[in-house]
Parts: sequence; C-alpha cells; structure tokens
Amino acid sequence: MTFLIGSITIGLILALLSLGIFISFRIFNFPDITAEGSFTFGAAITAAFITSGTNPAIATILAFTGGMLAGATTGFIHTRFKINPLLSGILVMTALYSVNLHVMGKSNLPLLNQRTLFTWFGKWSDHISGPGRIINLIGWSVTAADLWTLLFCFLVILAFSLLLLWFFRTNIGTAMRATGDNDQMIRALGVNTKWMIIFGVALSNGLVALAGSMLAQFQGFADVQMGIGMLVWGLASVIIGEALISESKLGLLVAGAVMGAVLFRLLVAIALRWGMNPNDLKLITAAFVFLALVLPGFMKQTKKIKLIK
Amino acid sequence: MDKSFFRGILVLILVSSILLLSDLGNRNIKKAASRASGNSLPSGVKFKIGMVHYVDSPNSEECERGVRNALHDKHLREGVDFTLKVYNAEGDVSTLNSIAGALGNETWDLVFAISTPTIQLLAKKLAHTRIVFTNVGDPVLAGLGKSMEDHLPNICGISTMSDFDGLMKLVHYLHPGMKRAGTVFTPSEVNSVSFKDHLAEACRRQGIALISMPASTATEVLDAANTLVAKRVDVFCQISDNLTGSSCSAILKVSRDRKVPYYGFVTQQMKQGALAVGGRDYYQAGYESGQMGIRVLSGIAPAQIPYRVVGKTDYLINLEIARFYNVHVPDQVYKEFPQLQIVKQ
Amino acid sequence: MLELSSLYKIFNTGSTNEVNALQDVNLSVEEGSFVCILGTNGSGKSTLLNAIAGNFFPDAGRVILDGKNITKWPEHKRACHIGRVFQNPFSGTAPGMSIGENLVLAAKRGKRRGLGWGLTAAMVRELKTRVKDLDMGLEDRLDTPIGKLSGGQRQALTLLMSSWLRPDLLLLDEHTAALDPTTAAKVIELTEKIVCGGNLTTLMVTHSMQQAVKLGDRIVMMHRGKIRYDFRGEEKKMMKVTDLLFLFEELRRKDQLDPGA
Repeated sequence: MTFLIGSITIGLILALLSLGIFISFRIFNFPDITAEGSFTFGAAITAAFITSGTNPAIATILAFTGGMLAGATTGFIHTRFKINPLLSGILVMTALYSVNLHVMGKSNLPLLNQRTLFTWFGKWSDHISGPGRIINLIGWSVTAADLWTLLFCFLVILAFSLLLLWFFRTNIGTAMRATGDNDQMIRALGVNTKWMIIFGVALSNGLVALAGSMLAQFQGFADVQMGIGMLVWGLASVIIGEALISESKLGLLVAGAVMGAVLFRLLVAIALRWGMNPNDLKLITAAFVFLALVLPGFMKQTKKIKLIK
Repeated sequence: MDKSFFRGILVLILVSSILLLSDLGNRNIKKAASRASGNSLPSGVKFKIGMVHYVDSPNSEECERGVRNALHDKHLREGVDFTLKVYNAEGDVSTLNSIAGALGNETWDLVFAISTPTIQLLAKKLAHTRIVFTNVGDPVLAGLGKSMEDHLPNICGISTMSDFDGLMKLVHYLHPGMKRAGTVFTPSEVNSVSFKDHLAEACRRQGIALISMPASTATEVLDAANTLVAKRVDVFCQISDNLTGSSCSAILKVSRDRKVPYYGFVTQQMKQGALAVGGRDYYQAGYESGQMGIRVLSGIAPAQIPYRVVGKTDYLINLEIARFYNVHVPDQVYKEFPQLQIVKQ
Repeated sequence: MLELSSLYKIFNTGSTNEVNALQDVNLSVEEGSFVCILGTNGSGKSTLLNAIAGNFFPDAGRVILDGKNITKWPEHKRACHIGRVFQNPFSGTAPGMSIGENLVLAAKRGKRRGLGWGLTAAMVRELKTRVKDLDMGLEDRLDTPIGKLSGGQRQALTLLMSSWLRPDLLLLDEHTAALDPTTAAKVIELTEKIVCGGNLTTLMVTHSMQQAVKLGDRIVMMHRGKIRYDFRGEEKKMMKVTDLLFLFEELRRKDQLDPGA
C-alpha cells in the first residue's frame, strides 16, 4: 500500500511534466526537447537556493521562472533565427547541462536536512493528525505523513490544471491554441505568432522545471542527470493519456495528460513488483508506449468490424 | 464530465487494485520493531538482508566480499540464518531509483548500501529501514549527518576516505625533486571532487602542485590521462572514485607507455602495475561494515553507532616496477613507513 | 482605398527556377469597389494578393492602404485592416477548435487580446445572431469542432470570420475553386450578400469567367506578372464570357509570336 501511495504521489508530481509536454507538443505542435534540460534546471535552482537558506516557496517559484527562461530561449532561437524546432531544443538542452552544473556547484546536491515544501506541509499536517501517526487503510498500515504528501501533490496538480484550463479559454489563450492549430489563419487575424510560440514554449518549460523542482524536494536531492529520459517519460504519459481519453475537448485532454502520468507510473510499478529487472525499465517503457499508440486504433477497427457484421 | 473521463478513472482504480493485490503479503503485518536488545543475535530468526551496489567495480566487489565474510565469521549461514538479495544499478541513476522503489515495497531487517549515490537515495527513500553503508568517501559531505557522531538515526557505516597525507609523504620520499602530480577526477561524483581537493591540500603540504583533469565517461578517462602526461606531470597520484576506479587500467596503460609512475589509493591496483599504493582496504571496509550490521541486527540502534573511517590502510610497493620506472627507493622510506609491504606482481 | 505602385517581385533569383512573378504592377482601387482578378496560370494573381496581405515583401514598389504605406508592415500587423479567404477551405479555420472559438478569434481581429474570458454570454449571443444569417443551421452547433464540418461550411465560416469586423479590404483568393458546383454557388451567393451588404472594398481572384462576369464592378486581367486589361463601369457590365475567352486567346497568341514579352 505504501508503494501504491508513493507511486501515485510521484505520478502526480510528474503530471506537471506531462502537462508541460502536452502544451508544447500537442497545443503548439512544437517538438520541444528542451524539457530534458529544464527539468534538471528547475531541480538545480531549487536545490541551490534551498541549501543557501532561501524560503522553499520562493525557491520553487524561481525554478518555474528559470524554466520559462529556458523555454523562451528555445522559442526565440527558433522564431528569430529560423532554426528547426528540434534543433533549437537540442541547443538549449545541451547548454543547460553546463548551466546546471554551475548552478548546483557540484553534480549532486543533497536536500536531506533542509526545509522543503514537503517538510513545511509535513509540519502543518502533523499538527492535525499528530506526528508519526499510522493509519489503517483497508488492512494495510500507512503513515499519515505519506497520505498528507499525496494530498498535497494532488492539490498542486489540481490547481495547475484548473489554472491552465482557465487560461486557455481566455482571449489570449484561445489565440495561443489557434497558433498551434493553424498559424496561417491566426496571423491573418492579427496575432503575432512569433511571440505566441515563445510564450507557449516558455510556459511549457516552466511547468517542466516546476516538476523537476518538486521531485528534487520530494526525493531529497538534485542530481545533474535527473532529466535524462524525462522527455520520453513525459511523452509516454501524454500518449497514454490520449489513449485513455479519445476526445478533443480541452478539459478532457488536460485531465488525460494527468491521468496518463499517474497510470504510466503505476504500470511501471507493477512491472517492477513482478520481479522485472530494473535494468529493463527503458525497454518496458517503449513497450507500453507502443501499446498505447496501437491499441486505440486496433479497438476502433474491431468496433467497425462488429458494426458491419 | 464525460464518459471517457470516468473510463480513465476506472482504469486507474483497476491498475491500482492490481498493484495492491501484489502487496497482499504485507497486509496487517506489524513491522518488526522490537528485537532482543543487547549483544546477542536472536536465534531461530531468518534475517532478510538487502545489498545495493551503484556500479560494478573492484572496490564494490571487495566490499561485498568483506560483508559476506563478516557474516560468515559470526556463524551466520546464507539461506539458513539470513537471505541476501543483491542489486546493482549499473551506474544509472534511474535504475537506482527503481531499485529503491522495489526495496521500499518489502520489509527488510537490514540493507547494505555500497557507495555514495546509493546511500544518498536510500537514506531518503527508505527512511524507516536500518541501513549500513560502506565505500562512502565523505559521509558528512554526502548529507548523511552533521558530523560522524551526530548523524541520521537509521543509518551507520564505514567511510573509506583515502589517506592522502600518508601517500603523498611516501611519494615525496621516492621523488624528492618532483614538482607536479597528476590525477583524473569525475566532476559528476561528489566524492571525486572532495578527494581531489583533499589531495591538492596534501600535495601543497609537501610543496607539490596537483594538476587535475576531468572526465565523465570511460573514454574520456584515457584522454584525460594522456593530457596529464602532455602537461608534464612527474607522477600519477590517482584518486579513487566510481569512474576512475573501474577505468584505472586505461590510466595504468598510459603510465606504462609514457613511463610516468603511477601511485594509487586502491590495493588491487598493485596487480595492475601501480608502483605503490596507500590503500584503504575495501575488503576491510566491507568486513567492518558487516560487523556493524551484525550489531544492528542484535538490537543496537544505528543512531548509537558513530560513522567511522576504516581502520586499516595498506602500504604496498613493488620494487621491480620501481626499477622499470627508474625510481630509487632509499632506505629511509622503510624507516618512515614500517608497515610498508613489498609485493611482487 | 488601395494603391499599388510599381510592384516588382522575383522568386528564386539567379536559379533556373527564377520567376518574374510581378512586373511593374500598378493598380488603384476605390473604396467600395468589387474587383475580379482573372489571369492565365502563373500570371501572378495569387502573388498579387499575397503581396498585399504581407506574406512577403516586394522587391520594389509600394502598397498603400487607406492612405497608410503598409509596404514594410509584417503580415499580422496588416491583418488589422485586411480580411482574407484562402483557396484551401482548411486554411481559414482552426480544425481542433470549435466554431464558437474560431469566431471569437475573428471577432478580436486586430484588437489586443488579454486575459478576458473568450466565450462570454454576450459574445455567444452575438455569435448566434450572426451565424444564423448564414442559413446553414450552424448557430446551434457552436460547440462542434470545425474539423467535423464540410469544406463548404468551413469556407462559409471563413468568409464570415474575415468580414466580422468590417475590414478595409477583403481579399478572396479563388475561394470557391476547391468546392463542388452547388456549394460553390452557395458560397458565391454569400459572398455577394456580405460584400454588397457591407459595401466592402474587395479583390477576388477567380478562375471562373462566369463569376467574373456576374459579380463585381471591375475586371482586371493579368498575364505573366503584368496587368493587361482593366474594364470598369459600363464596359465591364457589357462583358460576356465569350469576350473574356477571346482576350485570353489573344494573350496566348501574342506569347507564341513573342515569348519574351
């Protein structure tokens, strides 16, 4: 049960990453590789500031800002210098590796005894349920602290999802969505698509950096190699989410991205639990994503065949 | 709210239930918090012990051998008195994360964490498990406590910080006129940077400059070693970390081909052609951590056991190799280092 | 309203694909005028419209709209004054978004878009009223994603969107060419209604001589990047399809005699 709670918690944290990838890949049609660098960037900024005594909330906000800067750089390189979106992302991601090392000062920054958002919330929740409390959940023993952490992450992701949904229905948000959907049209309607892309990629990477920041605070350290493989993770979550929710309404798509992140984490947990060698993790990831891409089409086919019969 | 939304929630609940089903074994289990206190091991109990390596290296293997022998010497038999499950992250942080996750799902009587990245992650992820670490260069720097005595409550272990002053003193005796020593280090490993800095200090105390070259992959180690020779270092004084440890043969080859003597901090490197080493004994470190582990199993809380540096440093020298490098070994060396052992390859 | 002076544009200069798309084009269009632009293939009709809309900058010459020199303005800046309908029915609407959202975007053409809510109740009311004028039953389906509509419906909506906020200039680029005859007829009917009803200054590029003869008050014929014929007023009203065909033949014969002209 603790394992389940932990998996869902991490899934919810990484749902921020999933949302960020969703914005750049799906809403803006911008294949953005920067995420691998900005994920670590967010973790690095937060860890560096927390270990030098800064308020963790401010450190987290700074991480978000840093991510936005990284994304804006990618967008700027693409729109101003007309460099292919993939290459723009690779350029910034590569540069960020060195930047991250500088920010952290070393490759691995422990946060074991520092104030983080989680220790804050933990102190507050301890007032309510008493420290060290253990709860019996349908037969399993779980610490109250773990449940509170789960709730905290859930509230964070809920807040951001709703914020995004509101934003994308405002006038400027609608124009941003149109930029990804049909940029020729939106230019003919007076929108400066260059600024829209820059802002969109910035927003996407801001969320990714936020995911990195929260994960670092959750797991107790920031490592310069944290971001490696995270892009694939985020893409897999988005794709699995789309397989789950095959509608095109914005609200459902956002929910899908979040659910995909949690589901993906759970599937990996199950594979690990059943004795899969952790070294095979990447292979299993590829298999899951492949299934998620292929199953929906396959199911539609079988539905059609049934109808015809 | 739409049909597909609820379908999504349903799938999540289904998958969660599958995961829970696999956890049925842990249901209603009271965590084994109370054991006999004192210095004797409870009898008739089969201990569940785990061990996690970060990377495949000679040091890690020696540590594991030491742990196993410590258990064996206390008359604990594998399969009867304890089960030992060994994991290896093959140097990959995400694999390490997955291993931590897999461990977190079971109850362990004791977990051995070998190497710094391992203990850093496990300390956070397995906060309610008793862990003994070994092959950790600098526990305080790694965030495992305020000091060697005042540390995290569920952890204890053996530090393998090298004896930099000792070896530099030996090297200086063998090369009285030397100006520069060279070492490859790994910026992405916290210990490596710390060791390099300590070594630089020790060199400074001998009036020698330390030239260091960074590397992040095995291929880069070879390039770094060649660059050091190009920068005219008099000797290699190679610090030990996960990368340079597993790639030391590359450096030793450069040392042989370019005739720049190699001094190290790992005893196994004598077999590979080092002129002399001042090695923390990794087998000894493993053994001492195994002994610590047995004390924990017999009921002493890890919080009461201070971190310790491994008690034994072996100084070894190979005279034939010294001749190959045209290095003269004055008699004074034997007086200053009475524990110096002469070995043949 | 619109003044084009000495417009030149060459594509792929120096390569074997070099094309003299526009050669010294001069055109003056009064406010409220509905101009049909005809021409042979490659005559530069669409290029002319793109030059006015700002898809590229001309190599030489000026574009003046309502007294303002917009030659160097970027596309999105000109869009405040210009409405466009493209040949491809898929170019004018965003397929992943609903009818209502597309129209809201059109309703804010050229205006500052902020954090105000897009589809407010007042806006939805206004949308429904004006969409009803299309007579296509779309006013009850404002939530439908555009991708589900037919080409004709999308083109009709693009037309509505381009003229929602009265543009200074309306550019129609063969906007019925990709539709079947019945739908094309409906869209032309709609075009007339909107253009004449709002007295909009319009440039319509078309391949259909019937359309050119029936609609508008001026015909401009282009060939090889230059304007060759320009008929207005009475002269235009009396033009028939056969007359236009004859003129096309003339141009082709002239080409065969003197390919460099």
